Amino acid sequence: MAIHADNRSVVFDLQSLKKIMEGYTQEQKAILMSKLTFILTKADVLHPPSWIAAKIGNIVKFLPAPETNSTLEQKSLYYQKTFIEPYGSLIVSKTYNDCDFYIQEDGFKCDEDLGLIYYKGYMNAEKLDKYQQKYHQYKKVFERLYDNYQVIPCSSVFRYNLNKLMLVILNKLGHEATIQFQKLIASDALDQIPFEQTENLCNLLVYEPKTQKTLFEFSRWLNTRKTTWW
Amino acid sequence: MSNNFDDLNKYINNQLAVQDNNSRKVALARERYAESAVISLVKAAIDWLVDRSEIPKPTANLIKASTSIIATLAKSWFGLF
Repeated sequence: MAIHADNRSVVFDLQSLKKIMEGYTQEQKAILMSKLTFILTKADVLHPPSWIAAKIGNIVKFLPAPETNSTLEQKSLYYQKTFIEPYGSLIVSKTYNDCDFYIQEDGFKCDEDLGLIYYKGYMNAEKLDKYQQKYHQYKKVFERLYDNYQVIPCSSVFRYNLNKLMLVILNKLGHEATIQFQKLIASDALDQIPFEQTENLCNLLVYEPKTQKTLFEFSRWLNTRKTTWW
Repeated sequence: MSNNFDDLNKYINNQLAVQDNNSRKVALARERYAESAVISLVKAAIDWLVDRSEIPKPTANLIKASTSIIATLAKSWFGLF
């Protein structure tokens, strides 16, 4: 379920979700909510301040400015409380077991043969903190389970946070779908863009009508720099 | 000014580390879930064969007990990685 990052009202989305849920049994609601991934889409529209293009060799990774990052975090938390929390107790989330995970706590279940850990219930930041403090050795397991309850801010234009989104989608796939998805998710460059492709990503052109001159255009500036960089 | 730059530099490095960590998590999840999926399918296939009396139950249990070996073979057959 996609929520526009610059959206201010979610009444319609909330009503739509409630309407969809009305016709379902508790069990069907649990299945649906366990499969749904919530994203905060088009995060790139949130500016100023400028996004950061971290140039690493010939590729670029986009990052929000600290202020934008904080805004995205707050929005994600708000939407998590609005959309996920009301149905949280129904959700069954899953992660892989890479550490002989075993604890005796309500809601946790391990499938030793398949190497999977299940958690039924709502994992919020407080619960995450509580479990991480109590079972420090399984910190990463709880972190991965918590990922499933988050609203993921992302941008396809900047390929921002697509790995996290893919991770959460993977966590929610059934066995058959996992195999079918293998080819689709094989890309290991989800979060990066070749540097030469960034020239169309800056939407600012500085023009002076009086002199009829373009003072700044990112693609032109980039071309002048390429000779020194390559 | 220098402090601001240091803070930004620290922030960028921290965010890049988060992105790298997510990338590693996806790779590991792919691998682990593919293994689970294959084991699950093999088990379902064995149950189906037992139901049709194609193989005896003790043999089925023996095969099921070594599903990790089957998973390794199946992954290479299906070209999962």
